[in-house]
Amino acid sequence: MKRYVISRLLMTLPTLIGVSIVVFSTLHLIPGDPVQYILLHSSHVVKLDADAIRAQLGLDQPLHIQYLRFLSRALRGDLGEAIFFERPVTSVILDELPYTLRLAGLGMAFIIVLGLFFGTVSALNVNSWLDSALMAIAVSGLSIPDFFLAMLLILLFSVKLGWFPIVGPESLKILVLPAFVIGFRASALISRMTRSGLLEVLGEDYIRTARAKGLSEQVVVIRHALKNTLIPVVTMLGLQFGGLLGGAVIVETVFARRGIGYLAVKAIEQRDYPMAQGTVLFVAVFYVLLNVIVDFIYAYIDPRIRYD
Amino acid sequence: MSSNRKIFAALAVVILVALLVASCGPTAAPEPTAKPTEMPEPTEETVAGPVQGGHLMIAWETTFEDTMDLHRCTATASIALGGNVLDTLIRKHPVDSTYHPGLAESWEFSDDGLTLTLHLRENVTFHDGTPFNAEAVCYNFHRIETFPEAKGKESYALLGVGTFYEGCEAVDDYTVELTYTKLYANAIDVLTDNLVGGIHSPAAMEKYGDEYGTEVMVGTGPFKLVEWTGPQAEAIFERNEDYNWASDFYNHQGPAYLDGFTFKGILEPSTRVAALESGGVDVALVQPKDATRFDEMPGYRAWTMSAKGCGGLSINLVNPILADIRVRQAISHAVDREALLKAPLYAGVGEVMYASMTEALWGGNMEAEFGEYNYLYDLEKAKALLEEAGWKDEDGDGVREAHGVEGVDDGTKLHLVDQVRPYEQEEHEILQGMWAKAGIEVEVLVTDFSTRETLLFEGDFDIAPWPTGGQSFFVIVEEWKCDGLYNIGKYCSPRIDELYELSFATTDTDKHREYFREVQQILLKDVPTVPLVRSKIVWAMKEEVQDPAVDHLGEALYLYETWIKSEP
Repeated sequence: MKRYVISRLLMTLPTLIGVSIVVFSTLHLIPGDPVQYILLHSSHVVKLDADAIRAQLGLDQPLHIQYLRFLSRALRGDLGEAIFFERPVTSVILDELPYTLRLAGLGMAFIIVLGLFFGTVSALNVNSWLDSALMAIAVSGLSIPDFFLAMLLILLFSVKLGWFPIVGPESLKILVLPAFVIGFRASALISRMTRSGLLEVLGEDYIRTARAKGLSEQVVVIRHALKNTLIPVVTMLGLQFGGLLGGAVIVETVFARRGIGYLAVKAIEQRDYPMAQGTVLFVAVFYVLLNVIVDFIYAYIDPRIRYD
Repeated sequence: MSSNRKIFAALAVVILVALLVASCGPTAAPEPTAKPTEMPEPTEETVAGPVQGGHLMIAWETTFEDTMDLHRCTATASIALGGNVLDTLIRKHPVDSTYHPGLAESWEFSDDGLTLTLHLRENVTFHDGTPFNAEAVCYNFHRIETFPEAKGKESYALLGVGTFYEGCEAVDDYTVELTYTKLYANAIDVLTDNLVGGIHSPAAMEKYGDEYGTEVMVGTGPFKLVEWTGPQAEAIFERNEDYNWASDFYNHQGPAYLDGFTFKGILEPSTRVAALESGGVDVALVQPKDATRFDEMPGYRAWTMSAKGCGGLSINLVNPILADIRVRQAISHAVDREALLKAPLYAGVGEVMYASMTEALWGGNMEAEFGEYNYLYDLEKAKALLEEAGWKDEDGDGVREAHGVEGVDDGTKLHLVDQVRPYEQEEHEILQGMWAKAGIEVEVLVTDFSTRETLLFEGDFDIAPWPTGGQSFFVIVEEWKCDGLYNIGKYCSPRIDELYELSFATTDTDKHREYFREVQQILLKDVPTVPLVRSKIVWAMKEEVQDPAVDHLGEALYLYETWIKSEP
């Protein structure tokens, strides 16, 4: 087990280095740099010394030197100093992280509750109008863009009905709409997975045996069928949580929320290299670690998966 | 069976963690000091005139991603909001740009123009209770000069460190002498600027050191900064009860009327509108197309303020096609500015511009002085100019081609590349249609902010939206001087350079106006730019919000005179 854990963790290193190279090169390949942003985005037009600012930010060094510096610092847990925030990148990320985690947390709750419930209801009423309706919603959930869903919900629930505020102190009420938007797509996916998994399991011999023993349908479904359906679903849920952090980019912008998604958008727009690299790398590490944890859980709950 | 139990255990843990994380209470989001929409109690006076009380929640497009230490920051938000917290040494009238007493009651230059003496107002205190005096002023200037983090930043450049500025001396408690190594024509103007003229408390800067600006900002202004929390967050302000030193052009003296206000950055325009309509905010920066809607909506109104600069185009004169003035004139004549203003983008809110400097930029629209250089919409004239320049459409495909044009191969299509940012696309597609009528094919290329700026600075464009923005005539220097930093079209007029030299050689503002009027006329004659529309900043607000005002940058609200009318 220990060997499995260590080898699995070591395998994440190439992935992370790959991510860091992609992030670094993409940011530097696209035109524009933070110095130009400073020059143009300032409210006044005075002749600032672009070269001095560039040197101050270390942007006058060759790209490979800049990358190696970034990498060696990152390995020591130092993501550098954000250009526009003028603070260490890690401290900015840690300040914003709780907001995104709260959003992703409630989003996850939506995914689990909606996904499992609707998937089960659909499977139990297969080929009925209810099944068709729920799966139609699931398909629309997979295809509707987040920003469009967000605007529809804002217009209906905030402007027309006044149920959920858009601005105000952080509270469960203010989290509901953005969390729903962020979780809707994944809940559609989970409900489709639950439905197909359940349909498959319900046809198994041991379910027939359970029914033959005279167990109620409720017990058959919940205790026997659903449990076995959940193995792949749990894996998918873990990965979806990582995906939620990516979804935060749009949802946090539309709902004017703090968080690392919005932070990434601003950092990329301003070409704040350390901030953008740091944020994306952070999310990547989070995602990769989540993947590893899911693997461990999977191996733990399904002994057929061998550690070696 | 045991593996099933493990699945449920795992699932239960995931759900529990998800719910726990979601329900964790806020750690950093502050409660406003008063309820955002709290209105003052109705009294006899409320109907008649301004009353104290109430806290406004304001949504605008800019977020606060920078420090509020204006000596080192670059963000518009901090600079503009800082205006409510700081007083400047000299005030600039938001409409006519005239200079008025601020923290300095009067000022004069020495005969050689190298010493500026400021006579400071007495009995002024900072928000932390420390006194405002000559030493505080010099402390601020000394900090800009020596603070490593300020080096190369705007405050540093504006004060003239390394170029004009020599030093600051406190002659007595309330007299300051600023000395310059050479004549600095901008000396007065920079003292109206929050970045340089806004005076911070030396005690607070000492106390917080490098942390000053990320946690606190202490000035002498009508509002105190209570809390400011990171990006996409809020800046909360409360009234300074001791305030009694407003400039002479304000309608009242003494403390502000509002108990306080909160600025909330919301990038998405439709979210700002929704936030206002749902009652979450009281005031919101909206797009011009929303102005009429809010004016007609019961309980709301729209309030507009002209932008200081004018939206226009820069033309790349390096391109031989555009080096011919007749082609540039045709481009300008083919634009139906009235129709552009009526398009949904502007929805009629704004004014059409035929000259690039607005009156706020010393030039004025100067319609009376246009003479032969008016660029009113005249499609036939545009076509005639192009014909004359050798651009004819002989193959009948609607796009003109070169016939004997100098520096251009015969048969070359009159095809131009217009580099725009996403939000400019709508306007430029309208223009594209207008130019097509004259036989000019314009390709509108949309790129993001940073990419586009790089392309423009590398000269990779034919035409591009390029506003003449800003709050002082020195903005124009970098745009139209031959080696100007922002002269992307590479236009060069020796006379304009000469006029700038003359402007820099005097501190007489009347002379500045005279010189810049001439610059305006040269620009009209040479057409290196095509002015289009001077847009308006539109704030939509609840009906009860009274007397909003914009700071002298024309960007942020200055809420000293704003008050909330209670229900009659």
